[in-house]
Amino acid sequence: MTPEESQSSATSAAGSNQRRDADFERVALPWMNDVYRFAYSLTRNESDAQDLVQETYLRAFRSWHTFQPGSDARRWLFTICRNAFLRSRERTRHEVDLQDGDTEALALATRHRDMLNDGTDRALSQIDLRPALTTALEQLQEPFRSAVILVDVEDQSYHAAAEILGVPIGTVRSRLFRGRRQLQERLALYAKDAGFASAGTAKEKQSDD
Amino acid sequence: MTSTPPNKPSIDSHSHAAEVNCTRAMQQLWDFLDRELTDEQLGAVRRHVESCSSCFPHKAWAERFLEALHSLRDERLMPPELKARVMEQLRSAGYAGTQ
Repeated sequence: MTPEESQSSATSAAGSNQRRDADFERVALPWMNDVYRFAYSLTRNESDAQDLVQETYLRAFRSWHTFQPGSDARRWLFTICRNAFLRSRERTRHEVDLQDGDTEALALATRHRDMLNDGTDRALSQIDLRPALTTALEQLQEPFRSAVILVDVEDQSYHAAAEILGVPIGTVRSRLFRGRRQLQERLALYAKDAGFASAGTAKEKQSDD
Repeated sequence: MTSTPPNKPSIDSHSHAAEVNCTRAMQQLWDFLDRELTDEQLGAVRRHVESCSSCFPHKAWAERFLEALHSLRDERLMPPELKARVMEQLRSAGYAGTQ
């Protein structure tokens, strides 16, 4: 290679790196908050979540050449994040016996019918669900939590969630519905507590009168 | 596509979605709210839940539940110092962007 050729090749390498960095900045970096939220849902710990975000972005940067331009960068980052998490924990995936999605969906409807009958639904209609849901979501176990976070909080389709989690769509669907059912169980407990409290107050007030 | 015996409602979500009964509507309620059905199936579940007094409250509750869950998105933001840490690490890996 002549000095001129060598210089021109170095210039073109620099140009291609510049393009890579600009693309990475434009396409991957804006999702850092979303990746953090997902990382937190996996680690349930702020410091581990931060480490996982760093690891995710480092891996993403190093394998940027494998990213298909125009495809869903958030989904790609979530997949890297999930893999980095699994590798860091060296977790063996624990299999959980799951009902199929249709059965879970019916169980949800049945549960809500009970809530309508016992007044829980009315109690829930009067409270802000978010604080209770925040706690319930923190307590929700894997593999249900990842499914709920990806679909319900991060707006991923069943198909995208299946790809990120590396499981069939039917598994995502049943994990998701089971997770939603467990969250609703916790909401019902929360409403019951709130309901008993207000019933107690009303009773005391009545006896005062 | 398999044919459905007469007098027996179809429970195959992948076959033709004519009208659905309460059981089928509740099996598909979440797929419906998640927009995971075909247009035809979506229409069938929508027609059922909007006109059925037994199923409608389930739909209303499920919508409120999902809306509250989705709103949690705004509650956990990354700590401000994290971005600086990520950028520093990327720079040491060769990143030279403007951020």
